[in-house]
Amino acid sequence: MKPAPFEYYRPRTRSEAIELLERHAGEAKVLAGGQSLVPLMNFRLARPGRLVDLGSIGDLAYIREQDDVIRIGAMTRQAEVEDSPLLAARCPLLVEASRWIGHRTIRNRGTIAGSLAHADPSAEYPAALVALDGAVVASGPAGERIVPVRELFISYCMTSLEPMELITEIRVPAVPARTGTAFVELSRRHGDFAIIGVAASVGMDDEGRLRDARIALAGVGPTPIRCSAAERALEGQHPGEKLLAAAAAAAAAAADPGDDLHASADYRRAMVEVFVGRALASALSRIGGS
Amino acid sequence: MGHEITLEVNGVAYTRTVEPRKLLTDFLREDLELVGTHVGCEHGVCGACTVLLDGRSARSCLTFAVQADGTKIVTIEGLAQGRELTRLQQAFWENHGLQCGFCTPGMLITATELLATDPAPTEERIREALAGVLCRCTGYQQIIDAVKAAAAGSP
Amino acid sequence: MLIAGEARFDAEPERVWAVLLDPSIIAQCIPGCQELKETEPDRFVARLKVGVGPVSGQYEGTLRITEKQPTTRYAMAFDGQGGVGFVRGTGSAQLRAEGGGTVLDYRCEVEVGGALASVGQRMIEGASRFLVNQMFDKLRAFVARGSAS
Repeated sequence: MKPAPFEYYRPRTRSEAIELLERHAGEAKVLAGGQSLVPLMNFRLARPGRLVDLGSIGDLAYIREQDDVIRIGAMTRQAEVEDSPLLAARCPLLVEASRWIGHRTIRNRGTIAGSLAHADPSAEYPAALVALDGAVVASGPAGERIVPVRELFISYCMTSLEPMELITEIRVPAVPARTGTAFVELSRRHGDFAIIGVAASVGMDDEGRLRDARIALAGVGPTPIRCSAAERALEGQHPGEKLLAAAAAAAAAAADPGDDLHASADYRRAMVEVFVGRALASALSRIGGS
Repeated sequence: MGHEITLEVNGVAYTRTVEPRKLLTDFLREDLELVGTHVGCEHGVCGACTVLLDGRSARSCLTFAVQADGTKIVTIEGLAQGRELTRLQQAFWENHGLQCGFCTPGMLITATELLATDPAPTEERIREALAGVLCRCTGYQQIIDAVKAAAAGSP
Repeated sequence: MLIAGEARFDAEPERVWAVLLDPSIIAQCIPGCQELKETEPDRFVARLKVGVGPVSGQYEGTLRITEKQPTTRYAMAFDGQGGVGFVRGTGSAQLRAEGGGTVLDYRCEVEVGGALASVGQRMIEGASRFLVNQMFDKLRAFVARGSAS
């Protein structure tokens, strides 16, 4: 199918883009990589009257670190996140999450901000950002505001961004010393949407006790779900099989997935337990020396 | 309401006027009469529409022609040099890597990108890289054999 | 698919019932409702523009009240068509007084078809629940408004 007609704008600067969004508020949609929006438009499930293409704005793609905070420009392609040596060293969770996003061809065009703004709860970056306690910089006519991701995701494909705001930067803390991370996903075929996904990060203190555990789930609710009970179960404990199993069970109990064509709620819940266990074991095995 | 775009396709510069909603796939096929890029699903999952956009594989069905303004595109028609097939194309020929040929442009473009970045991929790596292009005829084995043969240098 | 749950109101069942059966109020509570017109007793035509995130569709349909037991039970059937697909089903609401307020148990059997259902399979149930919750939030606001006056 072909998309419905729309008007197309290609601003050269951020302020031009924001001005366009403000002028056409409600009718305009941002076009970043297009890998989620254009399929919807081709099916005519989405029919924005106007598209504001960010592709010509020069300074929106970058990956840098400053004071232990990694700043990633909104238009940084998912493939660039995947390939980044800086992120491999300083935020490996994002690199690992990237590999699960569709296929390389999709990642060549898809952007990190686009994935977050689209807010599909089955997507990888939203869960990874929730586990990392990241934030986005939302730029609008009134200026910039920092939105922690726990305040960003509201429901299926819904964020707290105003219609005339766009994400210009993503911020995540650099991985602390003695911390291991893992991203694991269950899908029918490689590259399919996640049935469930798990982003995990866990640190260890000098006495070998776990600290700062973070577990976020994709695909089990209207937004990524943090497993606070499971995280608390791990805090201050020495790692062990029974502990990890208890945490995985707590995570499954916290999940409230729905039934759909791809998997039943029961199956999803059962898989949360399995995959949280795997993610935690994997993250633990990656805790290096300080 | 047309937009003028200028882009390079297979080394040739073109300037045309297009509607914003015109997909790159349809621009290539209709406006430039390069029908080697195929229309399969129009939502990015089958891979038959895959082209190289500024050196990277991209779904032309998920790209508006207006977005391709100022870019360099390589389609299946741009792989061979005249009548001389690339090593990869030759390997597809020798290893029966195609039957109906519908997915073949997508397979070749994607495999071209793979071998450019990873000249000696493992079978698992080849399978992973090609997982985004669907074939209904071959069962994939001969396609993988073809890519392996091309990587090894002797079809 | 089944969408079922419980909605609580800070007013007695008579008040909630009055709101439920007021088309001018219901029209403001149904997400995206552009028009709700009674064509015959207990029969309505509706036009909605409703969606979740970037996906939205225009629907036209009918709503029939099939059961009315004042202040206790209410059932209806709906059938809507739109460019992106169709939505049809039945719904019932059971009201009871509890602790000075009302508990409304609702149960909706919904069938969604067309492009919306095939592409949006993963999200249909969740998005539907979201819209139903939105509707009850608005209903609650109307009920509260009435009680205060």
